[in-house]
Amino acid sequence: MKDRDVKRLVIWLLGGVTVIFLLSGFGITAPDLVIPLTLGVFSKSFSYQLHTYLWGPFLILLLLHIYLAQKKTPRH
Amino acid sequence: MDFKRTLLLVIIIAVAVVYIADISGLLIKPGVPVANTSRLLAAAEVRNYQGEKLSSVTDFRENSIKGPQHVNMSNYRLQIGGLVTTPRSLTYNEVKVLPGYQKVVTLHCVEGWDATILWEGVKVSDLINTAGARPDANTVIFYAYDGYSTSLPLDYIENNDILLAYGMNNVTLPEDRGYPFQLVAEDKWGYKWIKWVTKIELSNDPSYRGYWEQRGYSIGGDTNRSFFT
Repeated sequence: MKDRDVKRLVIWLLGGVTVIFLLSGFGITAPDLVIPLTLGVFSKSFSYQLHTYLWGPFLILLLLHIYLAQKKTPRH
Repeated sequence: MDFKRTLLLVIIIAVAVVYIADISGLLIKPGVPVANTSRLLAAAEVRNYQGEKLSSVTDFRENSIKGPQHVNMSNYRLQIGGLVTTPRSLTYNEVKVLPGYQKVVTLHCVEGWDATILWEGVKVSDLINTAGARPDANTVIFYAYDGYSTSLPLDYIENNDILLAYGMNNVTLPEDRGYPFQLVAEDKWGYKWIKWVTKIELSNDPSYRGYWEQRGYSIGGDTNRSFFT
């Protein structure tokens, strides 16, 4: 896998995790809005569980994203 | 490899290690003793009541204002005062001789988690009746050993047979769950479920603000409404 592919993968994963992290956070504080929005998937207790477990992947991907941004990609 | 990138790599590894420790339960949450009484009592508790699945006494997050309290029972008294005809001061055993009731009630925390427990205790209205509420009383203020307080309308207490629990899931209320007494404020957010109760005061001030109410949480605390005022 090329460096550029890794960067792209991290960006997409970080984007996805960020959306789920935010959605599950709002699923705790504003379930009336999030439950219908997610067709009942993000119930309050599910949101809580998810939010509790997502801090690690979110932080690791964010730091990895910063790390990869520091790495110079050769330009052709 | 330059310094900045090395540092980032070290931080990433450290975060990963902390995360793995956290999800595998190796991290001890602040304020929670390792050998807490809930864990010891969990082996004896019931997990099913009349076909209803119950949560465990260990399924609670510790979020009290000063951590679990150890109440000295040799001089513990439950005070009942304020707008009453005869202020009372009851020992733990004097409270327990009142008629006992059991109820399955779910605690909903503002943080998002909940726990369904078989609670056992005495009716708060029975306790108030031992002191005799004065006609102008309309609010019940509860005080705890750690300085926490909250209030509920007297009508709500009387009409819903609200319990002051001394047991959960057929075991004695564990110390970290509020021993000797925790209020079972059904249909109210968790911050109304005061633990380590030491005093019940009747008042005519429905706008009394307890610990979290002073910090922006609603006085009503109904679970079907937002907990913010």
